[in-house]
Amino acid sequence: MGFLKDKKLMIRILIFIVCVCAVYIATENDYSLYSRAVGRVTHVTTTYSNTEQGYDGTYDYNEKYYDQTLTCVIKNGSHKGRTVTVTNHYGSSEVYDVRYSKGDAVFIENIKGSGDSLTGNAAGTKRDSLIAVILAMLFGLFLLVGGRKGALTILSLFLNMAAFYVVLLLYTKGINILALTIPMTIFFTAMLLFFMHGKNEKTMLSFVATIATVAVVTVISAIVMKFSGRVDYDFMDYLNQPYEQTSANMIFLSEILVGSLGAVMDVVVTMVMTVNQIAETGVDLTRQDFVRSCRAVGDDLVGTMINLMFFTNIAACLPTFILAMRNGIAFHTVVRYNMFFELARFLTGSIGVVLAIPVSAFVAIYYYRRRMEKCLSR
Amino acid sequence: MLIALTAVLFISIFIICGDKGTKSIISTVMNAILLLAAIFLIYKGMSPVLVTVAMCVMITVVTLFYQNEVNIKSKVAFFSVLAVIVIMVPLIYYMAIHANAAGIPSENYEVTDSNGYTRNIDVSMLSLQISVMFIALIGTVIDTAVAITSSIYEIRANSPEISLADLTASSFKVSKAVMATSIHTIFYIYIAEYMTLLIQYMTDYSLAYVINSESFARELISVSISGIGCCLVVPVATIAGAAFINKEQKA
Repeated sequence: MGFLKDKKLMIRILIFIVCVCAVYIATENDYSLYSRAVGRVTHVTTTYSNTEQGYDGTYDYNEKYYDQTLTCVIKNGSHKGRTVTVTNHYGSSEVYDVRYSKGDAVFIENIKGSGDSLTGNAAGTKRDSLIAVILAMLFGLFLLVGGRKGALTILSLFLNMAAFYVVLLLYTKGINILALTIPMTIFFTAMLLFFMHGKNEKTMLSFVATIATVAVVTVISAIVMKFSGRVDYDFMDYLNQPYEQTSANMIFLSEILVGSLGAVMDVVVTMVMTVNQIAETGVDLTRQDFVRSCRAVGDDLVGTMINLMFFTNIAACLPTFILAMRNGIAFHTVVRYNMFFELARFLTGSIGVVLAIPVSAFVAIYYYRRRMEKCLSR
Repeated sequence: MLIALTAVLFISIFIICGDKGTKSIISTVMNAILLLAAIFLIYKGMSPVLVTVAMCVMITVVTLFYQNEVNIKSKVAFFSVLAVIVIMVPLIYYMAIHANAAGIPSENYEVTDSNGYTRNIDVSMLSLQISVMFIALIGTVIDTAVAITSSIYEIRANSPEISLADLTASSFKVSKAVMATSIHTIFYIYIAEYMTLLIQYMTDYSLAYVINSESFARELISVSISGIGCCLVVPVATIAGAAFINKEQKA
């Protein structure tokens, strides 16, 4: 356990903890930044209200409803320091409503009354401190674990977000989203590869292979989309309604493009590094030698990458899935409509992962073989 | 469209990958069945968190031991994944409970009372949210852990004379690169997943609304939990991997 005695590491961990705490305390108390009234819940009384029944075609469900009376101290604005009583109604499943608890910071609207008897409505939880704290932890861990590479990761994520923000801004100005996503993808790839691996031939090869694979995946998706009938976007999460079919198609294709990018790049980089390693160590290699090693490495990668695509894409639809099933919506209907986009992104992403193997192997082998031939002929 | 895409995926796996690729189809199908079984059990009224944690352990077993076979690499990866999940439990609970971010956010127009969904379902949406975070976490952590342990194994195999300290040091170098690419992989997946939500933020809401909103808090917490898990598994898998692989190779 030598790393426990490492003084430098302990100091770094200490700084990390102090920073996270500081961020938390600062953002918990930033009430003055808001123009809406923010209250801190100091006391809660909950009383049982009624039970309603839900029915899914086979079973009945009893949902208990509760009324809450919250006593809050207002922390900002003209009512600062005064107590306000807020009522709240929620069901125990909390599907669309929410249960507040002591210590929550809550936005309060419609403050009425005079003297000590102010009343108001709760309009959502103040969540900025949680967001700040979890980001602080994440970035802190990047630096703590990754060192210089972690710092580059943070920088690259910020640049990515900035580029994405610009794209969305232009999109809201009325420019086609797919036309914006394509240059953005090229920019993302170039920047990320350059940051992570420096300016060298491996970066160039990875860049070419990544762009080629992502292009192939998008084209395949577009062709499948064209020939398999109209996609029903009514169930696409968070899509602004009303929508136009063509613009929704564009958004969906852009999602496919970006969604497969990370995984494809991951595979491509590993493949190119492998070919590079083999080319540097081995002498007198035939094409078959290269292909065999590439296959072995690719096989190792594919399984866990596809798994990662599966869980990261599918996880988020679990609540909707359960809600739909408890509403008596048939299983295959849920898969066909509610889960459609998650599944499509998982499938296209996985196709990208698989195709990345031959594409990157081909690009890298072509390049290194040519270079070896040049060396030999000299 | 889904059927056509599935066909394309299966055909390309058969053409491009060898036996192991075929195995990865089977293990993905097994994982999908596990997930469906979990959904069914939750639907039947079992506690979502318990079902999910049990499922996560089984998924890890399938992915690691079936797909990558039982060897020192997958054993170390398995224990690293379990360790990280245990470390993450308090954080996930704290974040989920204090964010008040369970259920269906108001930005999701597609699923509302007015579209005929009853809200009387008697399943705690908070527990479901915790389950979602676990599932999203597990995929990333497994991927990172496997990448790390197999590269440590390769380093050790290529230079048998290496000392434990040197092995740990050079493993950390590789692990950091693995971490950086994994983080970007999940980052792009999430950007794709929430593109429509982000567009909605841009067109309809102010920044102050967004950073306090239910949907944003919960997506961001989910992404960050995956990211933090990914960071934590790096030192755990590297130190454990270097120690155990070194020991096994010596014997």
